[in-house]
Amino acid sequence: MTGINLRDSLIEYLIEASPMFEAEGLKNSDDLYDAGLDSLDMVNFLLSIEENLGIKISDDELQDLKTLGDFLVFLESQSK
Amino acid sequence: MVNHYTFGPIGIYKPTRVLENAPRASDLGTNILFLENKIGTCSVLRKKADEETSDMAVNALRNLQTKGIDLQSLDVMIVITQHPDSYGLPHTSAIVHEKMGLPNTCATFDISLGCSGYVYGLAAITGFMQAIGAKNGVLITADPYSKTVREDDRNTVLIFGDAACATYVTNDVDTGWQLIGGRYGSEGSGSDSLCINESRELFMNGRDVFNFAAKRIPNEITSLLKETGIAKDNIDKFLLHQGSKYIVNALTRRLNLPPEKVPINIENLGNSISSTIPLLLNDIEGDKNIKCVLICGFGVGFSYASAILKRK
Repeated sequence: MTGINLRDSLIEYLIEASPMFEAEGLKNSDDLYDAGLDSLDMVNFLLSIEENLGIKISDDELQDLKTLGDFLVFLESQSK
Repeated sequence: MVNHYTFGPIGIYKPTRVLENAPRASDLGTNILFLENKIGTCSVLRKKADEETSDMAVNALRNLQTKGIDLQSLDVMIVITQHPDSYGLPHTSAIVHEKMGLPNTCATFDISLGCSGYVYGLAAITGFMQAIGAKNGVLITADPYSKTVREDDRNTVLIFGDAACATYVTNDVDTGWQLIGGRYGSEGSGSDSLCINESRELFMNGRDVFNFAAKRIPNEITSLLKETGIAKDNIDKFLLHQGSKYIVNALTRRLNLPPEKVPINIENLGNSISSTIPLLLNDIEGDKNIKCVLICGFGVGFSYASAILKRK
């Protein structure tokens, strides 16, 4: 999956997890919680990643993932 | 397989003590809007400190009496609980038996199950009743998590509420709900995700519980519908365990169900464990247009069960 495709997929998972999430204009550097995600949506988002990409992000790993860019870098490193 | 016993009416007990979540939420660092809109609980019901599990069961039975049920006719009484009186010895159903003055010919025992308990219990009580040739029984759910919830644990204390239900079971009438097929299972790898810890306090890993339910339950419900040959459109209501508004809504979306067919009733009650499904059933009792419902319980264990009920 290319970086652009992965970003599109993550946006899709974010909207699935939180139908009211405003993904338009979201920058890679934006904190997802500041952008409107809450802790329940995050759990749902992580499940979508696990189910669709086969990558389970642990609670410890999640500590360092705040922005969409953080997720992109982490997931790309996992798929290499 | 069609089960010839019918269920209902259902006796209800809701403690009168109401704990508002708004003031507690701010103390625990939780946003009240998040709690109301996502978790779905504005307040939770709480039993009195000196009120035992058996007292809650007794109150549910007394309510059942007001609905015309003669408790002296009972052959069987089962209590579903994981928060029994004292330390579980004797079994809570024996204590309820004494408090209600039930006949000595009434068999009693407890079943240790949580949120899946009611669905398991319907199959267990009818199977037992059939085995011994019993006519009348009652299935009680009473699992007051307030006994073990930690008052400063925002993951649990703002969600769980106390309630008890007593469902009448008989083969003697032609009215009520009838059990039509079911699926039952366990995922013991999740037993540490919702448990009583060494300090005798409730612990819940919400992420684990959500993942289990979101991954497991849609497949269970789809498989049940396939096995029974009942189309999704022919189910009038899907009565899902009320773990939280969020999990019910997530399952509704994953199963592509019409939201109006999936009631949520925990706003001023809380998640009452094995009592959530009989409370939902009681809510729809007066609507005779509802003829077929799917019930699904899931949680601690992990344990899960789903079944279809048809109105006879």
